Amino acid sequence: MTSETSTFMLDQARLVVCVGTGGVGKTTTSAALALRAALSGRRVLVLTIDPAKRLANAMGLDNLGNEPQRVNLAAIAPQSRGTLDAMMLDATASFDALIRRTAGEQAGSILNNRVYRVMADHFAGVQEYMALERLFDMHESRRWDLIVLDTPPAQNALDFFTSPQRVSAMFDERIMRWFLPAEADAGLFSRIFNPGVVVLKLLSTIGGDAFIRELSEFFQAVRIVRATFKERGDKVAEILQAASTHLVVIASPDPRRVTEAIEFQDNLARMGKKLSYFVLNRSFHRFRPTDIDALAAIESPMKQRVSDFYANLVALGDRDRAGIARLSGRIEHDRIRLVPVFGQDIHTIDELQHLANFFVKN
Amino acid sequence: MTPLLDKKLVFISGKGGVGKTTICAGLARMAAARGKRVLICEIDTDAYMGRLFGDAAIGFAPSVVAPGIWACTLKGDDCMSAFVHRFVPARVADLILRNKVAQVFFDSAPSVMEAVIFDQISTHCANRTPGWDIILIDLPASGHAVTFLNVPKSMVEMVRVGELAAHMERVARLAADPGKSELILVSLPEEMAVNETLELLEKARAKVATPVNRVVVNGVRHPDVTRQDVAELEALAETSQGEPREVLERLAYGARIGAFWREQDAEAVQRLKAAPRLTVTEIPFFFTKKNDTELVRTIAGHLQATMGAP
Repeated sequence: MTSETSTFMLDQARLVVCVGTGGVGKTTTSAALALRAALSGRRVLVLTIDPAKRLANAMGLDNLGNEPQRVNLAAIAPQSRGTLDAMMLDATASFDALIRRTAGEQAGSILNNRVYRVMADHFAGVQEYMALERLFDMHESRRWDLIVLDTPPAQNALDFFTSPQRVSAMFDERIMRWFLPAEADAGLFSRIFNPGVVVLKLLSTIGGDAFIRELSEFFQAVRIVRATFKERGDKVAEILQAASTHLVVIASPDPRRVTEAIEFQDNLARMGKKLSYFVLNRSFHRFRPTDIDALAAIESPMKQRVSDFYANLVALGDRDRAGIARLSGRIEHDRIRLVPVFGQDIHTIDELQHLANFFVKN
Repeated sequence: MTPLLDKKLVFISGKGGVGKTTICAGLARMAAARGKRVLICEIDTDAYMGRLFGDAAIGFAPSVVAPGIWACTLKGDDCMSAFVHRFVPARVADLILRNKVAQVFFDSAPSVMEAVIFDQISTHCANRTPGWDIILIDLPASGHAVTFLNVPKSMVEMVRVGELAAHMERVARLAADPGKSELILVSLPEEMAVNETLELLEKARAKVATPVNRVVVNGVRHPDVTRQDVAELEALAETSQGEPREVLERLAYGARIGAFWREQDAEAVQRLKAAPRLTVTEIPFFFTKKNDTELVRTIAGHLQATMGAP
């Protein structure tokens, strides 16, 4: 039953979005999910952000690029009909490319505007937004049956889902009007009761006139790309809502992380989004106190050392069993995947495949 | 190098999940134990810090969480409100802050939230009652640290005149003064975490004026288990059957993790120690869960050894 459900997700989904806080193995898990689907015969793309260099190498991605690259599966599945492509994301370069594509003659003046430069390099939502931008292109191309998206680490993973709204809010028509030359036919009423006048006055008090001028130029220039931004933002929101889109949260079985993951699910539910799976990574649940008894019968100098160390693993096992129990109390069993801790880093496609096996059998 | 405890503004950064907040709390305990008045600022996050100080409630206004330690949470909205109120009369300020379109603008305009957060930090720096000796700033995850630390500078570039520029220039100057500020990095003894720390170190040294001289490696394990032990257990498993075999295989699997940590952790610490002009402080991994207050005190003890020198 369990394996059928998971196979179902990887067989039918068009998009799998992996979310989670930093340091839980999100990038590796995304790659393993994508590999699993490719080995079952689908054409898969994994869109990722700055994976560990050795993992990139394992996937055959030594030259990091903003374009999809084919991962060679011949060594592990010579007969496979499926394919795996991987791509890395460069947020600033993608944003510039988008402006060049949509702004026509105005592109140069937008790209050189200092307000734009600061925004493209510094604005916290840009990375998340660009991940979605690239996703849109890739999704529309229909070159792949499944796209697995590894999201940027966010303290609050929800930021990711609201980034299109936040970026398109920046280009809100009402705000832009503040910075555009007053229209001749605007009535006295709308000129007096324009909150923009108050905000502009405040901004020029604290920022000076030059800042307002630059901001004004920026908004006039980006007016052209606004329609595109909004349209694409809306379509991305549609893709994220589609029934063929699955959200997977990656966490660890530490009770603290489990609590965060449950809170995350509840917040998503409030936004009308449903979480398909919980992956609990690097679990120590297999280590049990009684295992140590078996060492008693062994005659070896290592006995004491191994026994001392194993007691530490058992302590972590107790911690993780508590976390797993907490999650099982809230979530149906077949939506949980446990991945045991590995005694190594994942550096090769073989090791990635080994990890991928845990998504189908539990 | 100015001793840490003589600094005024100390930023703490590291990738998500490395235990930044715990280390920040440890530094606060350590400084308070040396008689300093410490203020902890959490940036734009819901107080996890509170749990480390006996479930203290932490809000926008600094409050005492332990003897000699104050804490506050600096959220964008609150800082914006405090900021706007300083420039315009209260009635106008409320009008602006309540306006939906203005809210959207402030939320999404570049660096505005970061700038008002810095403005609040600058206000706390200037505060004479109680007159904090050290302000510890628990930065958002490392992806944003360089961006965040550059906000005063880029605001000064973007907004050349006006009162905001003057404020930002004051903070930018303080953050760039090696005698008064520094950035401490927190890492884990893992390949990826060390890569990211070294990248952040390089980027911060190239792009941020605040000096970076110290890294804290959190959760270092020194298992007394070797590859030889793993091989021995595997051989024993080979000769057994049924359940005893399964148990021996599990013991071998556990020993393999120990041997891996032994190599990995030592290598990670070594790589950090090899970086130029960087003092490395190791915090051991605690296998059995301590209560949070006790954990922070233990960590403060470890930090004291390398950072508490007068």
